[in-house]
Amino acid sequence: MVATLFLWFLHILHASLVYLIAKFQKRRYLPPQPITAYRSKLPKHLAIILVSYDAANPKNTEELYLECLVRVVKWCRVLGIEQLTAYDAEGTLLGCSDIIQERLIHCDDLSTDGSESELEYPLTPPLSEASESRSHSPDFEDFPLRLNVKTVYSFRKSASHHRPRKVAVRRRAHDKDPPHNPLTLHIIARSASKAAIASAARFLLDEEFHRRQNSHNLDHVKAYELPISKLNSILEGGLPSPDFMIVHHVCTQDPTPPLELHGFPPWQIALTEIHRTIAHDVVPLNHSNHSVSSLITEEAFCRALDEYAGAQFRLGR
Amino acid sequence: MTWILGWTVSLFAFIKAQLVILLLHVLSAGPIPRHVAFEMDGNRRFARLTGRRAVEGHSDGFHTLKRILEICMRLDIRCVTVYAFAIENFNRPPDEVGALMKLAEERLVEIAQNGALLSQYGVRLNVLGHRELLPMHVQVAIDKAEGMTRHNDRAILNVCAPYASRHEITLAVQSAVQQALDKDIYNSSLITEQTIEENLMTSLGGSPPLDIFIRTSGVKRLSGFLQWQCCENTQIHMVNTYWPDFGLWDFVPIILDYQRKVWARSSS
Repeated sequence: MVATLFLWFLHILHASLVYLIAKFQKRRYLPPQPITAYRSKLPKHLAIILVSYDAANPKNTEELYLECLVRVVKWCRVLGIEQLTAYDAEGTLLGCSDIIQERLIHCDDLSTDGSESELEYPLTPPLSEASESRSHSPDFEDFPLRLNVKTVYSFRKSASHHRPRKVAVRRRAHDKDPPHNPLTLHIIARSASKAAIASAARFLLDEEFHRRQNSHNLDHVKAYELPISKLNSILEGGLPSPDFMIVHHVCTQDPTPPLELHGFPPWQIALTEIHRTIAHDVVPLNHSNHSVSSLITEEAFCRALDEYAGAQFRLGR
Repeated sequence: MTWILGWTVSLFAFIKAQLVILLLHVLSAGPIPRHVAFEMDGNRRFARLTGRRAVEGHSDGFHTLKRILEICMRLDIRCVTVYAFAIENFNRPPDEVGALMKLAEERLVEIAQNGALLSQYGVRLNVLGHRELLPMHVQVAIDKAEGMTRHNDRAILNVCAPYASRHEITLAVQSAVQQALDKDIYNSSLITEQTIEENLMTSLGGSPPLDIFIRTSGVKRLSGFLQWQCCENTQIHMVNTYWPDFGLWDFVPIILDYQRKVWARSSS
């Protein structure tokens, strides 16, 4: 009982210290570099994990996630980041991927004030099914492999593209906006995580079983051996590894809970630099049920990129 | 006068040790994590700061490991996993790799002996990783150290060396496939996330789910350590302190954060 009382006192003391340190650090925060500033390195593949603890308002969460994603897509395209993976554990983004496409097209139409452009989103798998990534076996139709990655491609066509147009495109004034580079967007949820590795394992089992059945020699008595490279080609074939990951909470809590990865695919995070947005950089939107909603800001994004640019990779040496 | 000074220093050391024990006792009154992992990074940079060779930093790191392990045992943390050597670390200069192998050979047996740390707290030692890559004399020492602690059942110390998470996951998938092939009736749906989880090296050694992952030295990557285990329901702490300097004052706030999480979960 006495120990419990002392423990409560310790927690109060710790919470007070954390609060005071946060207040002190707030005054000393320097603004990050602007988005178009030179950075020694930029990620080729960025991942964003969106987290919400507000299960009572799923519609609000969906709207926050969508807005955050649209913002991040815009910044990625300004910077020329080629790939973006958007993850939320519950699959909220995966469930509204059609809305995502509409929003991205709409944002692109508004921002292309200048040069002629046409955005296309081909190659998107049917919305009603989880996407099935092509396997690396020639008989892949027999062994469906579900990696559950929804990939959306966005690219800008020049005026001399080959596809015949049905509608004429208006020419506009010279484009003074920053260039919008092509971007591949992967939308995933927890189903692309450990479950995808289990799916890959079942696929490999099917492959080995049928190989042994069709084999005419006695090599089936040998133990099964799986090279890392084979499993890697299957899993990274569905979702490449991101260089950098930003974890953003759309519903902030006080005090901020420690970093977690919320079930992000484990295979792909071996060398991923991890950053979480800080409360100082995000603007609270409203108050509901003691939680504060927050969208990711350009300042938070730039601070994350500054941190990535300063990271050192020794790769075991 | 010297003896007064010596006596005073000893008294302060005694009082400090008692206060630490008291603090740990107070912490133990709240929820305690079942499994904590340490990525012990920063030994070489710590040594360079003090103008010494990288190898001496690793020796300092081992002393810190003993200290932190004792704290964990006093807190009744039942499983501790440490990243001692990555498979990629074989790319380091040969003299550093040789020194690390020598450190592993000597120190593992040292802490596993009767009366030493592991036997004092009933800790079973598991060395996890691609053991065949190690020199034969190190493999022999590992077998000896593991043998000395095989019957300990109060806690587990997993030393990952040489280890890489993708290697561990691949072996788990391989094992799951082999187990399914060995069954009389073929059924691929038997392989689930749980099957792979059960075939991980940490699970095979009896480790519970990972509650806290700590990486020292300010690096914010997993670098191939426990990727499957820490991607879900694990609190991740990337602290700026170099591993040889890591101590109670870095660890206590982490435990307090964990306790807050457990209380928040139970109240919701």
